[in-house]
Amino acid sequence: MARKSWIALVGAFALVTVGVTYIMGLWITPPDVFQGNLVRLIYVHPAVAWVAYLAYGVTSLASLAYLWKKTRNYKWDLLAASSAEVGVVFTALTLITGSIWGRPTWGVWWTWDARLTTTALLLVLYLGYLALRRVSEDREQRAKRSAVAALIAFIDVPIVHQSVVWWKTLHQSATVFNADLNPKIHGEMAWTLLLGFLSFTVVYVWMVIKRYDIARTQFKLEDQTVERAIKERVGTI
Amino acid sequence: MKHGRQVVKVEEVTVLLGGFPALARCSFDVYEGEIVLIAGSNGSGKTTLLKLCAGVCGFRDGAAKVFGIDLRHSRSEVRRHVGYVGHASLLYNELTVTENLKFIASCLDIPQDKAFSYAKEFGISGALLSQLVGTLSAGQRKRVSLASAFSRECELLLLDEPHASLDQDGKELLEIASVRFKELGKSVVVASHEFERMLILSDRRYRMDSGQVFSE
Amino acid sequence: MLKAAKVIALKDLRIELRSRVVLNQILPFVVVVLIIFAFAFSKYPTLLVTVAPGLYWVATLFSSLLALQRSFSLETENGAKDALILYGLDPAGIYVGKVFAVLVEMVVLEVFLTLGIVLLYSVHLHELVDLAFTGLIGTLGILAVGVTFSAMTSASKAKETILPLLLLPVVAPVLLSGTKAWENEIAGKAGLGDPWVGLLILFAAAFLSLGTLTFGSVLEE
Repeated sequence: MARKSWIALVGAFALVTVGVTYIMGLWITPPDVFQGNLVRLIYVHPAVAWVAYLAYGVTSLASLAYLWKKTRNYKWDLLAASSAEVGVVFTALTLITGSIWGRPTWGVWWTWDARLTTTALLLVLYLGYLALRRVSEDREQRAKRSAVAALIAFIDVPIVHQSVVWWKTLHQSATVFNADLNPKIHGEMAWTLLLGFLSFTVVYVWMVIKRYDIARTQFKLEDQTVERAIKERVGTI
Repeated sequence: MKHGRQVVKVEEVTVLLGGFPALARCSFDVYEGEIVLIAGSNGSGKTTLLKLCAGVCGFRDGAAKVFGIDLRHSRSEVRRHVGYVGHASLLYNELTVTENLKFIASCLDIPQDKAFSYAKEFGISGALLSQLVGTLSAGQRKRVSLASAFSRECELLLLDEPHASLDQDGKELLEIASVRFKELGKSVVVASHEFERMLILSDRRYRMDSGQVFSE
Repeated sequence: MLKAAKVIALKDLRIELRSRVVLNQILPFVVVVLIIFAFAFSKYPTLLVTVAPGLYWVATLFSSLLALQRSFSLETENGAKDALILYGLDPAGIYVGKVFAVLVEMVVLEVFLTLGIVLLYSVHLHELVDLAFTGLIGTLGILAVGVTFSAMTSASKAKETILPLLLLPVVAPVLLSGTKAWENEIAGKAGLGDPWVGLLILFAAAFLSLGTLTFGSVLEE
């Protein structure tokens, strides 16, 4: 099968699984004893957060592959950039869905909980990465520098997380993931939850492929523009 | 006219500056013990060619070697063997001439005396040494830059518009130093639009136009 | 590597002694920040004592941004960064030298900052050695990342705006750990065995290693 049809197939699969998750999550599964219909966010929120981490993991690996001389190739740089961009979208979604969930549950849109704070820092960390990608004009320079920045972020995330966890736990008990509020998960709920993870992962894969293709097309277009510019320059003599 | 070992070998190289091909399929070579002149109007690619040979900028297509070292993979290796003077003085304005020379000497691991004797050769001595570089005239600063590049005593010296802002005296000092280097078997590449000055001293002349090099 | 580091650090410190930019411009900035914080908490002056550790680290962070920018504007002025590459200096050495020079400048600033906190906010400090060590190691962590980011951005058009955007989120753990460690030390609850100090050491060690390994890739154009 051609590459294009493969991508279309992945896209279709993403659409179907998200659709099924939607139906399962909103109609098939029962409301929670404590949280009522709010519990349905559990089919979206953790899955979206998982994808954000997955995306940054891919960015880190691709950046490492670029920096390592034996595997150095612009493909890795483009993959790192594509994955980071999708990661930022999913981090924002994590914060938004978390906020929507938090407001009725805890009565506030935002609380300085460890996970929330880490996620917010994660968002600005990778916004910085994307901003850095825009400042250099030279291809090689951009690739090297953003790869180093991605590694810095990668090392930073666990330290950020650890510091934020201590920050909260050393001074007040964790309130957010209180056992009483935790829904009891069983039966179709578990399946829907699992399906949510699967569907959003497939959505991620599809988005990264699409974004990567755009980046590659842009890369080729730049090459063509350069070829034309060279011909023009040589031709003026 | 070509003799000796080939020092620089640039073949069909393209260098991009922000998407613009400053060098377009450019070929160029330099041999041991010769003074090579490169003339050309503004924007013809002289500066980029010298930066390429100095190992400070990368390139896209083609092949480039200096002293047989591949510029694509080992730019930092090339830099160790090349002296370069560009438009920027590469000096610290807030340090005195002496402090700048001492800094450069310790970076390059050469004796300080050598740096000072080259400075003297370019007419930088006495009270000038304790002046801040920021307070020097453009011509004096150029002399310090030239002296520091010559003091490396590299086998290849790349001079980008060295005549600019030098007075008559300075130009003559530069020519004397270049000829002496040539006689020691070193190669000197001079990019300049003041072509006539070094015409008699040079072994080969090139002309640059639209990012390409042509023999005269 | 150490030779290159020494050459670079001495050069930077000599320029600072001559130009006094850190002393004459960044130090007054620190004082202004201290005064402005006092305005922000004017309703509850005693609160200043409580939040002093946090203010200390915020002020340190902001002034290190300025010191870093100053350190790299020296190199871009006359294309001197190209020169460092041309001279064939070991990139790791350049990195270590830069970190060390800015660290020395920051230590001077932080001494004045601490004095300011004691005098202006009436904070009583004990365990000065612990506090000093915590300050030093935290600042080292900030600069370990900061030098890498400054080198990346110093030649770009948007250098003033992009450096804070890159650096602040990354060093957030330093701000947090530094503040907590200072709070504990001032309260006499924990010394250098505090896990927060451990986190600061981990941060500095991780990013010093990464910076040393990757500075070649950052510097080469």
